[in-house]
Amino acid sequence: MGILIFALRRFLLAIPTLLGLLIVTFILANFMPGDPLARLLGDVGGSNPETVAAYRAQWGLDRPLWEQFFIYVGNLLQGDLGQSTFTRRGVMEDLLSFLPATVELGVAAILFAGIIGLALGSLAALFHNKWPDFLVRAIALLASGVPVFWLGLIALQVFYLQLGWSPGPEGRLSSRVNPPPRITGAYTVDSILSADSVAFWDSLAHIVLPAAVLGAFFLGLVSRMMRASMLDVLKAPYLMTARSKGLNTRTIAQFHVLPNALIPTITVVGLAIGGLLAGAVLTETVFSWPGIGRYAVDAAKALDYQAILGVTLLIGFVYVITNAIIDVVYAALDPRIRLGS
Amino acid sequence: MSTVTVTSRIGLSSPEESKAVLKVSDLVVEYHTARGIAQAVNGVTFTVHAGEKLAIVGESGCGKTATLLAALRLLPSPPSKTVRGSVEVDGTDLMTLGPKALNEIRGRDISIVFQDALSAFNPVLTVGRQISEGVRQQRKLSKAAAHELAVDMLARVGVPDPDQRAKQYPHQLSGGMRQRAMIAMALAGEPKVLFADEPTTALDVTVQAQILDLVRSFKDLAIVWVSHDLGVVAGLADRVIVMYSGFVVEEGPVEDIFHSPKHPYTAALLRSIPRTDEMSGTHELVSIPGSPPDLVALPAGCPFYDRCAVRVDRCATDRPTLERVGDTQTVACWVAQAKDIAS
Repeated sequence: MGILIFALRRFLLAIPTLLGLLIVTFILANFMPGDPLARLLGDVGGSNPETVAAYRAQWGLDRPLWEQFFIYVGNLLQGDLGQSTFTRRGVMEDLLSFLPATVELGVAAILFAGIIGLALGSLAALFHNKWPDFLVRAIALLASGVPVFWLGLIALQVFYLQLGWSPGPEGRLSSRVNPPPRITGAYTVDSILSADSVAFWDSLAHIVLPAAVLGAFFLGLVSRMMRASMLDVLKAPYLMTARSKGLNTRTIAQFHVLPNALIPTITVVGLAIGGLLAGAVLTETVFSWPGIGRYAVDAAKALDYQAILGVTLLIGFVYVITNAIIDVVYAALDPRIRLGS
Repeated sequence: MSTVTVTSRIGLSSPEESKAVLKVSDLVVEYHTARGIAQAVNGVTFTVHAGEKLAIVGESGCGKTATLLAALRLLPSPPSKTVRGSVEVDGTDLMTLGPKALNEIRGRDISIVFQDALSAFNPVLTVGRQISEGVRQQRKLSKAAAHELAVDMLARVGVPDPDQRAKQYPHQLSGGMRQRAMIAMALAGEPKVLFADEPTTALDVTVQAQILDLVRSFKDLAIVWVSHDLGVVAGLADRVIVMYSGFVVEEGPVEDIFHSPKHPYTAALLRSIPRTDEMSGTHELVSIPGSPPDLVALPAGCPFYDRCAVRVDRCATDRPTLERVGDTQTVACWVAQAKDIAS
């Protein structure tokens, strides 16, 4: 009961944040360097004041900024993010077609980094100041210290060119494999749903390396956080209480150590989601992954005003929503947050 | 703090007649520190009989808490190490048990109440669940039966509205209520021996008195109560052990310890309690000069030598052993033992 009310309140609080995000991105976009019109019209059209004026009137750019904003918000509420001057399609349509690939990659990266990070962090804490601890700390330092684009290139060099274990940077599938019918947009999921084993193994093979590269920073962060909070929990007086009651190791680990160690870790994970999105832009570029990151890079190169604004909004939206989700998870884990003191 | 009123206990059953439920023999605990090996507990030996209330007193760092934790094998190792000794609960030596057999006894035959109930409770589990989970595991209780047990235990320690309280989290309870809940948790397995590590120190005086009344009401339970507060001990214990730098320096019935302390440390400790029955102003609070010896480099002789007012030459070189002095007390002091022979 308590958690539902908490969740509702938290998501209602996200609405003003999203509105703020909308205002800030809109204003920023208006001060972006480079004139999108000049780019759009080319040298000839851009030098003709009449053509420019006609375009400005057509796109509503001659109206006051606040009026433009309300038109923009009005359109947004109807699912219209304007038109991309680069793909000549609706930005919303573009985002929806590129989003699943990024979500699939991001979720794969979080799962990979989360599971391995939690395991490594726990291991390090249990073997505090012994060799597994030193090893995990070295891995964490490397994983979170190396830039994503460099790590991506090195990973390709080793696992694709040298060892041949991984497919090359050719996107989500080999060219000879047909994509599964679109259900969720995530190839690995869709291929399972449509019982296409060829597409499943091929898409899985393609996602492992980029997901590992994208998740590396996250893995380092999660394992370090988990190690630190677990070390704290292992010293906590309530663990001595648990042992004094004759509880077996499994019960202690499952109900006393893990939930308490996860609380600080989850908080950090939430904050790191933003970094993951930034990393997605670079990872997708290195691995030719046809996602939002690639779309953003192309849009920026083309000074595609509407598309850049759309991507920025989407990333902000994902960030605000994931943080709301993380807060709810946090409250679910910790009754002190859920019920107040 | 509570007053020292030593009441004579008429009709106190002689400990020798009843059954020994806990026998701690020659317990030795070391801490491995950066400076070397600290000898925290040095050959502590005591016996507790069914229903008996034993108090272990001494200043902080004297090894009283370490003794309890080591006896339950709860001390984190490293840095600590229980080098020697046996701890027999109803004839079973905890020190030689495997983890499974040990967990059969911990929480069931012997359990412990800690000083700070807030940190001793897991913040993310309900109070009721934590009260019953040990018993639930041992007796394979259903969820409903476990809840019932928790409610029953909370009611027994005087927590009002136990059904609601069992469903709450530790932070939602008041300090006194939490301490009661922790006692309920320790008693859920119906132990024969209860260890109490200064469980009233963090509470205000009225709540402290309530908790002491509650503990006194457990007639059949053997209790080992660790405290630095002699006032609390006087109203609760049958027998007292005085510890100093990891050694037992004096042991005896509570009345005898308070009326005729044999060890100079015990005597100094008693002089340092504020007394409300001496309001004339002539009685000054006496502090014990000096500080306890470094546990990493214990002196060869008596550990109290540096601070002792009655020391003799022998005390610097020979460590005194516990010997019977008078009818009821045992004392580790050459001077007290010599006096006893002379008289």
